[in-house]
Amino acid sequence: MDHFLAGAETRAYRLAWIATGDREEALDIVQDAMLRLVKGYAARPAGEWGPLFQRILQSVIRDWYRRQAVRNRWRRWLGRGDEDEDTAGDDPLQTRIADSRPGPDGEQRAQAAVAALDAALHALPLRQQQAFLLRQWEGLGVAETAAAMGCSEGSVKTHLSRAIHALREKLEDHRP
Amino acid sequence: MNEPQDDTFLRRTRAWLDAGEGDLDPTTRARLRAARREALAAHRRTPAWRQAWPVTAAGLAAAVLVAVLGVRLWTSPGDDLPPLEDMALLSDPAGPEFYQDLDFYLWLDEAEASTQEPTRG
Repeated sequence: MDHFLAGAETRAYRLAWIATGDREEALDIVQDAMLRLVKGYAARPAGEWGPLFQRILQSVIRDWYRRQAVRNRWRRWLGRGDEDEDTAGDDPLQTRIADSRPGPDGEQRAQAAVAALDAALHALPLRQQQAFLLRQWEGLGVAETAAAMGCSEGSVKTHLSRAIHALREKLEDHRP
Repeated sequence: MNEPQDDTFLRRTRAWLDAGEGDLDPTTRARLRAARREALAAHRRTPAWRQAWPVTAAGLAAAVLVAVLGVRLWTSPGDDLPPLEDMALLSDPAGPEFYQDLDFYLWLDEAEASTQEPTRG
């Protein structure tokens, strides 16, 4: 189990970071997912751990989104929405883009592209973000992605198609 | 909907995502290692009976099922297995018909007794 988690933790963190845009929240999400996997499924065959971990991770991310939505509703209701707007510029993903604007250097351009992709993914609706990352980066099949997202295979295809379309438009400037 | 797997744009995005994973700072990597150790340690601290609760629950469920079936069979009114008093009737050499016509035999016995009494006197 230690070996499996060691190989999965950095990708899991990247997925959580893109979803939340916050390092502390992303670390909490990954730790929570690890704990749930170890406690609930350590006795299962090692071959099942990958899909199970992905399903747990996506579920924890969805829970985080729901909590955030509720928190934001309460903030707006309590009249603290202005504070959120004031701090919107502190989004770490947006800051990364600002710090790494395309320059003449090849490495700089690559860093800018990575930052722009992170930000573009972060800006997508959660379902599109999940469909894109699970299918295109994690390499899961449609059925596995649907299981991890808790939706139908048709929904996965729809979300993925919309995600690709949106990303193409947003990352137009980073084409070589 | 089409999912263009070999699209150049998609290959590039995958490369960017991989690059982002490779660029993870040492502090974050260290905290991820700590989180992993904490998760594994928390599992080791869990008592053995709680780790094996699914097996325990399945065993309890099986025991309850056996008990319910046992009680059901023991108390069922002649569906499959007869109650104990019926077992006694079935094992009697006189046979079940004798007990069904018991009133007739009692009447016959009384009738015979009453016809014999005047001849004796």
